[in-house]
Amino acid sequence: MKRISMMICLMILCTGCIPKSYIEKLGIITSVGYDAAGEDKLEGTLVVFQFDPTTSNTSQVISSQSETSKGIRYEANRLTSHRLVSGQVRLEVFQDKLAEKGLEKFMDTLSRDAKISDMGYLAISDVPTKELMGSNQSEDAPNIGIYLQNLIEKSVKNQTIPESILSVFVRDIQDFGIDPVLPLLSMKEDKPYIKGLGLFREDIYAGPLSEEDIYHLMLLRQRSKDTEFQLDLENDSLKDYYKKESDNVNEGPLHVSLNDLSNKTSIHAKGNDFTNQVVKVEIKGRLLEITKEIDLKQPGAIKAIEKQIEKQLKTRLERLVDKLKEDGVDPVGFGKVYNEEHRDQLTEEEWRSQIPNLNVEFDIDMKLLRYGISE
Amino acid sequence: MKVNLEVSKADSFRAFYLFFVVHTLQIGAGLMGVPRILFLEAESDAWISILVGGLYLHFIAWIMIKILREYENADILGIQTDLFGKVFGYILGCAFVVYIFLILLTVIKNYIEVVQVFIFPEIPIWLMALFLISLMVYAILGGLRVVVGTCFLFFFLTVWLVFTIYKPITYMDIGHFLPVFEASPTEILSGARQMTYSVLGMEVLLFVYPFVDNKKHVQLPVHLAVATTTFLVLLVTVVSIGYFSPYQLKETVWATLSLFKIISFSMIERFDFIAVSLWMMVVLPNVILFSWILQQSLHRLFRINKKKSLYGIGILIFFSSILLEYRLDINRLTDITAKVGFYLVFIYPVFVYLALLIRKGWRKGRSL
Repeated sequence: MKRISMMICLMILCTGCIPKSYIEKLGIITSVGYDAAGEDKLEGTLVVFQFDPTTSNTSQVISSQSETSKGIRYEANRLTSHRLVSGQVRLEVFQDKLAEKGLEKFMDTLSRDAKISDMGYLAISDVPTKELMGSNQSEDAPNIGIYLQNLIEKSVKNQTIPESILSVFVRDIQDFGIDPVLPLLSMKEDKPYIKGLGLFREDIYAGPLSEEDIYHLMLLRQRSKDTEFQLDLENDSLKDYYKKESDNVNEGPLHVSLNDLSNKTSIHAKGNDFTNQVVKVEIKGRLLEITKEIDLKQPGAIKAIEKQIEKQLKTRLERLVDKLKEDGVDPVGFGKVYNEEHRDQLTEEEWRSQIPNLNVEFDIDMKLLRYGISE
Repeated sequence: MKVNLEVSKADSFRAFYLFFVVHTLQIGAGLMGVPRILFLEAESDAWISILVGGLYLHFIAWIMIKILREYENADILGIQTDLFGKVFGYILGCAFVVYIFLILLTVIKNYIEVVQVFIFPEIPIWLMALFLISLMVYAILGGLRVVVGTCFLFFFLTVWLVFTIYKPITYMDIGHFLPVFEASPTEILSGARQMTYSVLGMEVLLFVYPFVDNKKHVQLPVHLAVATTTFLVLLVTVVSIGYFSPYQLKETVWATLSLFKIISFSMIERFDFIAVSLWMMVVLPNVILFSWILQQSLHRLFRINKKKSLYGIGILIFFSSILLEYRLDINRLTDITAKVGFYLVFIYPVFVYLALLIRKGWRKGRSL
């Protein structure tokens, strides 16, 4: 009996020693936006959750200015009666002007602080994040921060954009021979949406990548599976296989929509020369939609479509690589793959300076396995 | 000091439990940071170092059992005095005592440091130290069987943490391992040596052996324990190398704990909080066993009353852990202890065994 009462006493006393956090008194930051504000100054916009039983409004948006990202939180504490805590930050958005100066210094504090989750998403925005976070178009999500986070999370899960969590971004910055990418947010009619991708040169924002190139980049990065993509083929390229009875439907452009069931990409440097790269892409896909009446029963029809898709995909991929060369970035990781085969033969500077001289040959093998329930 | 111990039936335990004793003692604060330490030595080939280190661990376990089997029921303290004479035996015994004290201190300090960094930055050192030390004293007062029981219990309470590693595995980049065999043999060997630092604790066998009931069956549990330890170290290191970029891994102090940062369930958003708290159960068997060894050695060497020495150890550990405040000092102490431990645990037994063989040969020669 004495022992049990002692134990109970100890349990109560010892737990009392830990600092307490009452949820009603906390302001739980769910997402943060950073803007450049004048010389060297940052403007931070915090979307904060509060569980105050007396108010119906459960979230608020606070903006403050400071020199460091932790300073923003400190300054923002003066603007609210709740104690701001950052253990639940799941999205950090950076304005493109800020990202152009480099994100390394933000990554330092994010990875140093054990309180910050490594699963938080990162994004950049081509409008000031203050506007982005100020939008009241958050669909059914309780606040704009959660909406943005759901938007990115859903897109990453459906593989329409590459993984953009903090730990992968930091890894791609620091890995040799590969540049990171982040989703690029923007506003359309006062509603935030994903506009495309932001390309990075190490931690410095190098420029946007349009939404239709995302699939191609993910294909080359070998980090995608089960995605959809659209292509426009040459208008009359499949003339031989049109169904006879329906001639007039076959006017106008030819579009196909495909489901990428699985893909395999291998990158090789020809003759140990970094600038001569050969990329082999194998895609197994499923036809979802084709805008012309094509008799798929005819021998060779599928083969012809496959061939057209390969041709079109090749020009698209070449266009993408030209764009990357222009920006001097390598999100595909040509340098990384080269380094895995020939370690210590390529320095960081050599890799960077050789990117514009890259000569990439594509060898695409498309297999159209299925085409739905109608022929 | 008598060479052989007389052990009452109530104090002895079955050889089967040696698995838990050796394994839980090897896995402790060291596992939290081992991927980075190995990576600094052997880069992406650190896994080879672990395999080499693991083989050496098995060799040492085999040697230790060989030594102990030469005697009827002795621990290392008795064997030393028998082999090297009373003076050297006592000096070496004291070396063991100092080393065990230091390792006990580093285990406690490193865990408190982790709690302060991950969960409660404000928590005072003395409070955490008091928690751990009071549990330690409480367990040891129950006798050796309770000590062994805590190892058994805490092993099962924490072993499931291994399965949570599936999530970081999905983020692994196999390219980080290519090309293999880039590290030179010296780098691999120094990596293997670093690996042995992190899995110190096998020396418990040298102290606990007299208390084993069925000494015939000692080999299997001990080797199983060493194999399990090697596997765990291999697992966390391989996943860490794949998950982190090389630069990140060099900068991350507790890579194993950082792996937990990306695990989240719908009820528990931040699993790392749970993992760090649960780690106390990984650390506790360490603390309890090491202080039991300390108490036992002091009793054997200087006939100090067991209860008195236990309270003495508790108070001494408590005050020394308060005095160490800076992370740098803790790191330095850990390094020194690891170096001492390496020679005492992984080199010294080989010499003892050689000395035993020489004496045997000499005696044989004389009797002829």
